[in-house]
Amino acid sequence: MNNKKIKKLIKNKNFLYGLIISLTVIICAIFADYIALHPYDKINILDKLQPPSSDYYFGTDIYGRCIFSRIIYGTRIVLKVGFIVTVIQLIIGVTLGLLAGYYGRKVSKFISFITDITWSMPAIVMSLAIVTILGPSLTNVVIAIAFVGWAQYTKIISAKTKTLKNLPFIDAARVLGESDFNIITKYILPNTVNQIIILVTLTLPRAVLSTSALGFLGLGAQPPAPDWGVILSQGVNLIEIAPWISITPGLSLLYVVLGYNILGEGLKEMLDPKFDY
Amino acid sequence: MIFLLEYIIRRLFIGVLVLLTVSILLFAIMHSMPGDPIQLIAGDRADPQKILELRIKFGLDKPLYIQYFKWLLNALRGDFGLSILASQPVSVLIMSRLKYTLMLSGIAVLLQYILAIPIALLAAFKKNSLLDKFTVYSTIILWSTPQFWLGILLILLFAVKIPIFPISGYSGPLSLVLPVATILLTNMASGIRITRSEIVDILNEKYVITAYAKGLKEKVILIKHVLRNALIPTTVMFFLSIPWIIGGSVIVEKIFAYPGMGYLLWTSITKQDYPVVQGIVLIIALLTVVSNTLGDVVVAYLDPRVRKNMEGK
Amino acid sequence: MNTILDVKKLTIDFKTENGTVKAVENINFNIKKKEIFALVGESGCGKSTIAFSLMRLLAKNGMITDGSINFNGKDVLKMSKQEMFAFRGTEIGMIFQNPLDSLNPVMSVGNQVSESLLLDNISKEKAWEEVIKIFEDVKISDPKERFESYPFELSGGMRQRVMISMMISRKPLLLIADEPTTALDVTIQAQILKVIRRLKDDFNTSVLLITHDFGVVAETADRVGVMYAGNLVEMGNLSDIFKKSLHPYTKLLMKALPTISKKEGRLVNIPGMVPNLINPPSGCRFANRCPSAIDICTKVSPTLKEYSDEHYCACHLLEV
Repeated sequence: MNNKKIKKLIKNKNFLYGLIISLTVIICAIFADYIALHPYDKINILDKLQPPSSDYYFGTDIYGRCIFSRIIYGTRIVLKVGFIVTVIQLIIGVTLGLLAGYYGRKVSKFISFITDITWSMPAIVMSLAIVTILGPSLTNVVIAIAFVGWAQYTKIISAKTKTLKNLPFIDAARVLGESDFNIITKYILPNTVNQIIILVTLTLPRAVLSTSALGFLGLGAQPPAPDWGVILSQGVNLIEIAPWISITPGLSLLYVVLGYNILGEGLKEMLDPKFDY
Repeated sequence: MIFLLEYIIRRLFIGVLVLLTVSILLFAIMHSMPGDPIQLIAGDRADPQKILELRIKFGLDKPLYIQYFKWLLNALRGDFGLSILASQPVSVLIMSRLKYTLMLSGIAVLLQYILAIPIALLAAFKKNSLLDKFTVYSTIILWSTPQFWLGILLILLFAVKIPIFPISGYSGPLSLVLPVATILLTNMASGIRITRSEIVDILNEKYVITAYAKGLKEKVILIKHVLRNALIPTTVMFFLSIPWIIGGSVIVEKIFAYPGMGYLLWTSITKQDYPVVQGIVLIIALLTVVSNTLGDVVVAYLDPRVRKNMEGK
Repeated sequence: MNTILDVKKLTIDFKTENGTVKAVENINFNIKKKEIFALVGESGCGKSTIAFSLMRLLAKNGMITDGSINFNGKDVLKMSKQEMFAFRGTEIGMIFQNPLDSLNPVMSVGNQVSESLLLDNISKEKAWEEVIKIFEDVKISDPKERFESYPFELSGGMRQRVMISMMISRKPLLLIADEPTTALDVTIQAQILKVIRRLKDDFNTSVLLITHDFGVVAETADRVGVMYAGNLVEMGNLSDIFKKSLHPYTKLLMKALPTISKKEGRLVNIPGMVPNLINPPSGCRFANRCPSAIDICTKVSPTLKEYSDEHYCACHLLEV
């Protein structure tokens, strides 16, 4: 991207605000030790169920742990999860998409069959099934969500590859004697980068929401890990006497996911406004 | 019409293949898991004889593939085996809950369809106006809201602080309001967004200008030309969203302790009641395949281009 | 009164994020009963813009900043929204370049045409009969079967006939044809032009034919208006424009036309580029490419003046 495009990108409000929000999350994650008020697992029964105050910005939970600190440390989980899920989905999905789009017929049919299987039921149900099999833990949730979602990459990339492979410049490459591998990696892949970027901006927020949903159901990160979904679930029964326990992690989730979504909107406007979800 | 039938059958066939594969995978994996449900039932101190008896009772002593075929044959007859925990037939258990889930999901899906279209039409027609911008931003915010948090917030506001609706369970139509609202608010957002974008595209089409040039009134143009054409992809989306709403009901049902299939799925997972989990997952997979196929059929019915293409084959 | 359309001083601007585009400036022309008037010029010279403005169907960022459009005694620019809806279709019709895009893909062509007719409160049966009749008039084969067809099932030429049927069904005084044959094969082109020519005699409908193709003009037009960069530079009847062109641009265009009598194989190229219409140059917009430009050309914009019977030109060179 040249300078003019970068300037235009920064002027795009969506991209800018989304980027700022994402950066604040990253900063919280990196400097959690300095930003948080207390260690996230420090139990202090005497101070349990305190409303938000200057000692505890977001109040305390039933064990007297500082919710603000737990949320700050929780950004690490949020970022880790988003990153890993995206990388896995990207690698599997894009590779299969390129193959399916480039090689027609049997390869394509086989890949679309496998894709259909992962798409044969709603993501939540599938991830629930996988977590049931593997057991509740953050790692398994990440695996489950990554497994469930790569299909969206495959569908979009294979469609784009199909249109690209019929273009004259690919014929020219073949005439020059380029191997299939080279054609796919040097000619086709770079032209799918826009779609990949947009897919990533769609994957990140979904990954965060899905992991916290599974965490909320008790099937994800296990206590005392400060997963925002877990914190929220711990506040459900106490909603009347200590609503902050559930409200603050929810707001944090909204903040992060909104940030990713707005960032995605901005990028979509710049890169490929006609993108079809 | 015959060709339509052929098309449906072909799609269903693939769907069946997918379902079979899913069921095999599910079955194989669930039965090779550590942790023994029999142990759970029998308890720690049960004697080996009792455990063996229980195993035979649940057919868990035979080789895996035989267990699978038995299960498959039974499943086709609607018999999903016995729930390990409840000692009831799984199918009975599921049936007693299914109607609640269908009620919840059904109302949510219908309302989503009815509400999303006029909102999207208005926003698209008045593109970039305040109304449109408000709509777009609202949908992005709603779309970013965690469903489980929204549900709890609604409970806090409308069931606890201002006790209008019941907090949980099912005790009449009022119990549906908050769960439906939770599902609707989070799911409708993407529906509105996509429909709006479809309509914006259509409004830019040349045939809309033709309609104006003919002298048709604006209302007629919007409904007969724009909306009718937008309904095609929108209706498909409506059918495709059905499985997602049913799947998502797991969370909503859990929050509201709503006695539906989703809640049952969650409790069965935490208690490792495999037959129930298997049964529910497969039913949802079946509903997904059926919804997707219905979506394709509806497109073929509504869009003459697709229809004639098929008849040509 | 013989004149059905009278356009005076028409000026249209478009607001874009890069500035205001002065797309069309000070256009003056008229169209008479039973005549085919061709508005000809390069892509982007503003001819389609004028066409859309006559129906008040300009894009949202387009504004008519000056001038008047008088159609059959009515001031088009002063009509209310309701009056415009009644006006379109009945007094003016318009067909477009690519009939596949201009027809609703999921509605049968017959229904699309009868939709116009039904606006006049006739019965469905009567409308059906009328549609069949019009289809026959524009020489659509098997009209009864065609009624049920969808646009994608028809050939390009057939679709254009359907468009024409749709727009003349309520017997308008003027049909605007915006590049009607550009997307069609040459043989089909000839057929469609034949249909268009018949409109003025058999249907009493005048035609405003918009095109960039002089071949089409030569075959069809009675009078011609030549446009360049948003200005009307010359206007006259067909033979005057072709054989006695006055404006340097028209002369160059005529030279650029391949003819059988030309001995040399070279085609003339006009060097230079069309000016940026966001900041159009003061003076004549063609000055920077004109081989005969003089000093005043870059300072003062020439106005359209009549030089012989119905032959107009906007050029300073004719004044000296």
